[in-house]
Amino acid sequence: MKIGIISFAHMHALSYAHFLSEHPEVELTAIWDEDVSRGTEMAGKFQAEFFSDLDSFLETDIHAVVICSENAKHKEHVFAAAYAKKHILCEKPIATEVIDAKAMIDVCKEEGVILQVAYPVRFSPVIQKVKDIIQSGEIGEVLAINGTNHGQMPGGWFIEKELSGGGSATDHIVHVMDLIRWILQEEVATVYAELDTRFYDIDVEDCGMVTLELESGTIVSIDPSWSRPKTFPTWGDVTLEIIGTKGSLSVDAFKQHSMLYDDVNKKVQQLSWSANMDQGLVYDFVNCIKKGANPSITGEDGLRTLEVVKGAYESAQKNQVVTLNRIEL
Amino acid sequence: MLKVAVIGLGKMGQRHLENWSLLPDVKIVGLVSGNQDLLTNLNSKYNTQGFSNMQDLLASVEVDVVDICLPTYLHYQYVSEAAKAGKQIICEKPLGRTVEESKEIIAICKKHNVQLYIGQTLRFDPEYANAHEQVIKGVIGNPGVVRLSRGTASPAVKDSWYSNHEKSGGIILDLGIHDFDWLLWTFGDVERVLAKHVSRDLVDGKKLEYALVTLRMVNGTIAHVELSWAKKGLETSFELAGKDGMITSNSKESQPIVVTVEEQPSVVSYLSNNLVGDSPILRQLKHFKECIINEIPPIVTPEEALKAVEVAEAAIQSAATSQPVNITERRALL
Repeated sequence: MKIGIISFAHMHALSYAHFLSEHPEVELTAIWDEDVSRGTEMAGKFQAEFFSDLDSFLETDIHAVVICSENAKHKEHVFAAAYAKKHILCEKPIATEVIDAKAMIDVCKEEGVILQVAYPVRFSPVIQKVKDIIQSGEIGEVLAINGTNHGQMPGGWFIEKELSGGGSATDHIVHVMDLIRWILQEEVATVYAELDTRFYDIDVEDCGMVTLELESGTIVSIDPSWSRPKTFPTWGDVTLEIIGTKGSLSVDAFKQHSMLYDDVNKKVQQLSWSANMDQGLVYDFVNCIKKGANPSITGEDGLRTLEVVKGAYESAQKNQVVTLNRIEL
Repeated sequence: MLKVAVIGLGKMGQRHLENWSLLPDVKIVGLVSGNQDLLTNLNSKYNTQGFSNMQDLLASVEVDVVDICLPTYLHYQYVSEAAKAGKQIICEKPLGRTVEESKEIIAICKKHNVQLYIGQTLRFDPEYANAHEQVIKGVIGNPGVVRLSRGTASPAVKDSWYSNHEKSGGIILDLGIHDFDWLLWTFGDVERVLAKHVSRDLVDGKKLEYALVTLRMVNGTIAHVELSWAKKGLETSFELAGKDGMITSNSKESQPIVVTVEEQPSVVSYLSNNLVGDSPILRQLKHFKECIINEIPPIVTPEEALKAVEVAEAAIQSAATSQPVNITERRALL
C-alpha cells in the first residue's frame, strides 16, 4: 500500500513517517510540502519522492495521505485529497472551525474515503487499560474527572492564530476531551473556561482551565496550559484523576520513563520506555484501509472535540457557562 | 504561664490538647466535652479538670485562652460566649459556617476587646509555608496557573455532623478553606470562582464528596483546587507555574521515612502525617501562644480568615447555580 504525506508542518509527521516506512505492507512513496527545503529533506530521509505541486502529488498512485499541515490548512488539504479519492489520516484538531469540520466529514463521505483523526493517545497501552478498568465498572459509576494535558510552549506556527486557530486551548483540550468521550461514551453538556496569556509574550492564549459538565452530570476539569517550563524534563503530560462511586483511578499516561541526568547537555530528561502510541495509530489507519472498515477515530470525534474548544473560547470571552449546541451530522 | 482550656475533644480537640501539653509555660486548666468517658480519660492523662459545658468551666477556673475545637456550626455560639467572658480565643478553621456568622464573630471579639486566632493550619505547614515564601520572593516569576489538590477519607460517616451541609458546609467549606486561605495569602484576592460539586451516599452510610474549583485571582492568576473525600488518607499536592519557573510538591513523594511491617495496621487518617520535626499544629499553637503573651498580631488575621470563608461560600453558590460567581459583586449584594 502506497501512502503519501501532506506537509511536515506538524512535528508529529516525523513520527508518522517513521512508522509508515517501517510498516511491512506500506510504502511511503510521496511527500508534498509547501516548504520546499523541509519537503526535500524529508523526502531524502524517508526515500520518498518530493512534490512541490499538490495536484501532481495527488495524481500519483498513493492510496492514502497523512495530513500534518498547519491546522487552518487541514480543510483545503482534506478536500483536495478526498476529491482525489485518497483515504485520509488528519492531524488534530480536525479543523479550526466547526463548520469546516462538518464540510470535511461530508466531502469524505461523498467521495467514499476514510477520514480518521489523529488522536494517538487512544493507542497508549496505559490508556487502553484505563478504558478497560472504567468500562468493567471496577470503580463504579464515574462522577468526576480531573484531567491535564500540559505542554511546553511549541512556538512556530502554533502561536500564529491565522494558521493554528488558537493557542493552548486549541492545541491541548482535544486530547483529553477525546479520551473522555471515548471512555465514557457520552457528550458534553456545558463548558466554562478561564483562558489567558500569562507565560509568554505571544498573540494566542498560553494557559487556561476548562470545566465541563457531561450529559450524565459527570464533572470534568481539563488543564490545557503550555505551563511546563523550558527546564521541564519532558514535553508535557496527559493525566486523569477519575472518581467513581466504588473507587478512584489515577493515570499518568507517560509515567513509564526513567530519568536521565545529562551532564553533557546540562539537562534532566525523562527517557520514555513505553510502547509508542503513534505506531498504534498508524497501524490502525492502515488496517482500516485494508479492511475498508469505518475508522476507529472518526471525523465526528474530531468535530465534537472541536465544539468543546469553541465553547471554551466563547465561555472565556463572556465569563459565562456555555451550553453546547451540537451541530447535526 | 498561659492558662488554656480546650473546648471540644473530637479529632482536632485531641490533637490540640496533645500539642499544648508539649509547649512550655502552658497549663491546661480545663477541658469541655459532652462525652463523659472521654473527659474522664483525658483528665487523668493531662492532669486537668473536665466540664460538660463551657459556662461551668469559665465559672470555676481561671482561663487566659479558650481553644475552640468544635464543629463549624458551633463556632459562632462558643466564640461569642468566650468573647463576652473576656477570654482570648483560638478557634478551629473555618472561622464561621457562613460569611454572616463570621462577620458577627469578628464584631463580637472587637466589641469585647479580645483577640481571635483562627487555625488555618496550612500556613504553619512547612511545605506550604515554604512554597508561599518562594512565590513571594519571585522564584516562579509572574504566576500563571496554580494547581492544588487535597484529599482525605470522607469524614462524612453515618450520623456525623460533616454529612450535614447546614452544619459543616460540606467539602468545599470544610476542606477547601485550607487551600482558599493559602491562595489568598500567596496570590491576593479572588476575582471570580466557578465550582462543580458531586456527592453520593454510599452503602455504608458514608458520603462521598468531590469538588473541582476554578478561581481567577485579581492579579490574573488562574487557580484550580481539587477537593476529594474519596481517599484513604490525607493526600495533598500543588504545582505553581509561573513565567520563570514552576514549584511542585506531592505529599506522597515527600515522606523521608517509610516503614513497612508484616502486619500493617489499617488506620484511616484524616490529618497530615507527623512530619519529622514540629507538626503544623504545634507550630501554630506556639505562634498563637507567642502572639498572646507578647500582644503581637498573628500571621493569620480574622479578616483574612473571613475572606477564605467568603471564597468558599461563593464556590458553594457557584456549584449550586452552575454559574461563575464574582466575589466583589457578591460582596456588594450581601
